[in-house]
Amino acid sequence: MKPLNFDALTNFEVPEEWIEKALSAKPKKKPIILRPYVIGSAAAIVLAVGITVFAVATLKNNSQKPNAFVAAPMATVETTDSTARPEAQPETTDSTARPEAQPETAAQTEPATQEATAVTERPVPPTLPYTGATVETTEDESSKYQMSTEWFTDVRSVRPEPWGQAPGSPSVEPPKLDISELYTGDVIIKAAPDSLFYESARIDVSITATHKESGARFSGTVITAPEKDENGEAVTRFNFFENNVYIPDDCEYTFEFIAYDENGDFIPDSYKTVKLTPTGDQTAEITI
Amino acid sequence: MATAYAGLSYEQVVRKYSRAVAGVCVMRLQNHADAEDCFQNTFVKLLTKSPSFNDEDHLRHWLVKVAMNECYSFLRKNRRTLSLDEARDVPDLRSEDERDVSWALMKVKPDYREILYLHYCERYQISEIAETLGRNPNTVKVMLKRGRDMLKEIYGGDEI
Repeated sequence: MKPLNFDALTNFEVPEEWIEKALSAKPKKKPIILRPYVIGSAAAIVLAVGITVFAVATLKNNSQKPNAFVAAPMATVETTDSTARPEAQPETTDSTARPEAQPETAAQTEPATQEATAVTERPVPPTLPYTGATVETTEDESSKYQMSTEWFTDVRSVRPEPWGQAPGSPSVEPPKLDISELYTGDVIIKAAPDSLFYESARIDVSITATHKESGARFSGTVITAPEKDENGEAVTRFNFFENNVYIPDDCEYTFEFIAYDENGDFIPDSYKTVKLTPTGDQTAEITI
Repeated sequence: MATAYAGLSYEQVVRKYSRAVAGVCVMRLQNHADAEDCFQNTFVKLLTKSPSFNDEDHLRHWLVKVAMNECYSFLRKNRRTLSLDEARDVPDLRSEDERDVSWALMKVKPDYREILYLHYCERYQISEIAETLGRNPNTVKVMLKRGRDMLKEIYGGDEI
């Protein structure tokens, strides 16, 4: 038998080509931008910035609608083109979606114009930038206003509330009212220095009433921000008609007041109910 | 600045240990093209890792170990069978004796073949093989004995 000669294997000649290739090999270094720690750091920074931006945006939005929980709208009335007040509401179909786009009350029909003019002369003139109420008028009933059954007004915020979330429709078709049947006056709320409402940053006013003739119930919430006047009282004012909230006069209204401090916390015992029957364009002054 | 490997330059290391590394690769993979890939990868690793070595023995062991690992990785990624005929076609640059030994070794199971190669060709001690392969020295000793028997049976040699 032939003996195994392992030395034959050790005489194995490595091709020169292999050695040349190994000598010319250079380690491939990744460009610095592709190194994992650079990519990771960049991703972390982007993520952190994104989260910060999102948080800031969220906080900003929340600060603009602190009362979103207060008055979730119950229903909304469909809007059609208004021929009675074309210059007053040229974009009536968008009135619920873009309330800030609504023209000022000065552009409304004559009685409303006069009212708006008077408003500017009042000592406590906080503007009412938004209401979710809508109006329906037709050519045949140009002087009729659909009574508002639900509404929400935030005196302080121009941000519209989502009216589309209305869970149901009113059980009674809201009646159409003539201008003479509407309550168009101001509601002025005053809080004396000894009142629990005096130091409040926000007063929520819930208003409910029932229309005598049709039996239609209507209700709404007005968020107000009282301001101190020269008489040392905290005063706030709002006007339903100016904000396209059409409610009948000569009904007994129930006003419920609740005060909140600047942190949005309920001020204990600051609950008050007032019954009132406003008429025409008379100013209703309530001291709480 | 050129990096020194146990007092040798990179080129010196390549020239001095190319045969050891190539032998391990060829013995394990039985294919020159694949062996060349692993051969190159071994030296690229030497360049990229730049490890420090105590002496030349350390360097040699490191290279052989890395070459084996490269072969294992290669086989894991490219599982395929190689016929003996194909394997026999390759070593055109080897002598007849060399081809005979290669042919006999290639018929031995890879684990045994590796130990036989390291022991008889690379002159590794049992303890060094055990360290390189991460096995118990007694296991290596037993495997060497069995490998020898297998080789004897295949080749029919009297003097192993």
